[in-house]
Amino acid sequence: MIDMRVRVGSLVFDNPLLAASGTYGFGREMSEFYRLDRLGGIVTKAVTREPRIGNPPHRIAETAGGMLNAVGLQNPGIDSVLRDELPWLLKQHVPVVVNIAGRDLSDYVVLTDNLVGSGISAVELNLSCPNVKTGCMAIGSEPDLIEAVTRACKRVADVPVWVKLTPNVTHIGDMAKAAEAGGADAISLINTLLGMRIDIRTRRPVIKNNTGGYSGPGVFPVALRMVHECSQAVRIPVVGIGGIHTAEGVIEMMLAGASAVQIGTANLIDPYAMPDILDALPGLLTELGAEAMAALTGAVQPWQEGAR
Amino acid sequence: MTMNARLKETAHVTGIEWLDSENALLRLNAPEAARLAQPGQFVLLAAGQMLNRPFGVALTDPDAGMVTVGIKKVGIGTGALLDLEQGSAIRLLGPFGHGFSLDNVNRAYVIGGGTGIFPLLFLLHVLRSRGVETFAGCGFRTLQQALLQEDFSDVSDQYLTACESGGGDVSGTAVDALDALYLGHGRTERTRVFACGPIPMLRAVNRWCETHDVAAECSFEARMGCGFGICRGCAVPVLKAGALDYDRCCVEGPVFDRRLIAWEALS
Ligand SMILES: Cc1cc2nc3c(=O)[nH]c(=O)nc-3n(C[C@H](O)[C@H](O)[C@H](O)COP(=O)(O)OP(=O)(O)OC[C@H]3O[C@@H](n4cnc5c(N)ncnc54)[C@H](O)[C@@H]3O)c2cc1C
Ligand SMILES: Cc1cc2nc3c(=O)[nH]c(=O)nc-3n(C[C@H](O)[C@H](O)[C@H](O)COP(=O)(O)O)c2cc1C
Ligand code: FES
Repeated sequence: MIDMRVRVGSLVFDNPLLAASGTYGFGREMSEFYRLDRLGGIVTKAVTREPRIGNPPHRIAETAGGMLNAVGLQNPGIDSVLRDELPWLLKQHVPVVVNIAGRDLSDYVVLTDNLVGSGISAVELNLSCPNVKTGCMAIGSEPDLIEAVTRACKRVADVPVWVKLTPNVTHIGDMAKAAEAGGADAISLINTLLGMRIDIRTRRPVIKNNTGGYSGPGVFPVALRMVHECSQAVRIPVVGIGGIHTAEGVIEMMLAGASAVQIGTANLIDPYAMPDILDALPGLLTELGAEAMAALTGAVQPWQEGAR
Repeated sequence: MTMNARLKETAHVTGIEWLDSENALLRLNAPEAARLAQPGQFVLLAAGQMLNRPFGVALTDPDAGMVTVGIKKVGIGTGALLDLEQGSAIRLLGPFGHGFSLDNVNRAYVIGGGTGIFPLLFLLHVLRSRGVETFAGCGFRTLQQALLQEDFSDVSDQYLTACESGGGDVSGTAVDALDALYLGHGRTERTRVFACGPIPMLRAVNRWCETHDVAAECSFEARMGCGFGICRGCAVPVLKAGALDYDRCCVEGPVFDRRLIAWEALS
């Protein structure tokens, strides 16, 4: 019997697969495909203080190896989420992580405070959405701001605080260290890579926001490298995200240093992606001679310089 | 709104019937979708690309387990689907979405343009079977581009083809066909317009309905990410208590009451 459990700081998950923010809604639609308690956990769509209508369409463009999106954090706001979404989701017997997004430090603190006592497993600070004008990625590109926001949220939170990082920076390791310095319980990465597509006939960007975030299998090697780099840079656990579409991808991400993973775009392409990966994992682990999922974390053996 | 069925099945291509050089009917054996689909709903077909492609259900035969979609070849995904061999297996998700409402109507004006005509065929069949009077009009640029005229005639009390370049039953657009049909048949208290087509056509239908104070349901096409409600990629601008909001084309739509749409925000 393979032990699929993993640990992210003080949290234990039945298996390493969490649904990524923005690619699973608040779980309701997906519950009509399969029981949500199969998953390790669910990260909600980003929640803001006020309801947001998001960006005008087109919000989506397909591209080789994935897609661009500029949804723009459309969500009903924290009051509605606490009233209408979380009570239902928390009854599905699956750990819930709430992804929160704000314009400035005080937004993040207020949101974290609003979630105290709600019964969720962790808060994920979205310091990385590239599709809004203020907050998020603007904060997540500045180590000082990452540290300040993390520290301020840690002060009010009653559950672990995860910091979700953007790959759109030069030195991702510095961002990870800033989150750790602020007291983060874990970091999660990557959010989407900023990209663009142009319609050659109209000479207009396909996405109305002009730019959008790139996700899907094409981003996997970038995500893997960044997860590896961050896991070397900090002692806190890393949750690996980006381009995972197969059981093999999960294992690779764990080997690179992830303690758990999140699956995003794969859910959009096949609603059964996560259960299918879960079904494939035990056989693959057996084939690899591994008895426990958690033992894979960081088990990559990098080539040493000058090695032959 | 009825709850969507959340389905994935392996569909088999039983035939591709070309209507002209660009448009074809793709016939699929997909028993679950055939059983569940309602007019106005769509299915997602895996086209070998990343994202699934949405297509309105054009006909069903639940007893034979058959679903037909009409496809216009416009890019890689539609091209790949129309290159499939008979017997090929493809992944089908759905049916999804909020379709046309069939209750409380006894006279229907069914107006289509572009690829919007395909799902209207299914609608007409069902309206007919429920004893609703059906008047249909489809718009094409030229008479050579007109499709499925006989199929539409078969399920309509009156059917008109409108051609912008002349030669059709009506010269002009689909809305001119609507106007001509309405002139002949007028209204009951339970008259409704059902429209599916490109945005300029839907906009014109809405304006016509405003002028004549007639209820209408319009079916929209939005770029989709998932097609089943989780990504919020498929935004359609709507008015909620007078303020702009975005509904999901794949869940709240693709069919919307015309009065809900924020027409000025639509591009
Ligand atoms: C609810 C709904 C019902 C539809 N019903 C039909 C139908 O019955 N018959 C039919 O021929 N077409 C229909 N369409 C449009 C059809 O989905 C697109 O033509 C198709 O996705 C194009 O794919 P492609 O790979 O050939 O084009 P590409 O241009 O290569 O596609 C690139 C991307 O753009 C998207 N896209 C391109 N054109 C459209 C469009 N008009 N609407 C939405 N997304 C688009 C594609 O899905 C893909 O993500 C419908 C669309 C929607 C949203
Ligand atoms: C449509 C869409 C919406 C997203 N919305 C959010 C969001 O609200 N908050 C967030 O932190 N990340 C969001 N993301 C990023 C994903 O959670 C994930 O970090 C990224 O897509 C990379 O993983 P993937 O390649 O598995 O999709 C979104 C991604 C997509 C495709
Ligand atoms: S396409 Fe994803 S929510 Fe509609």
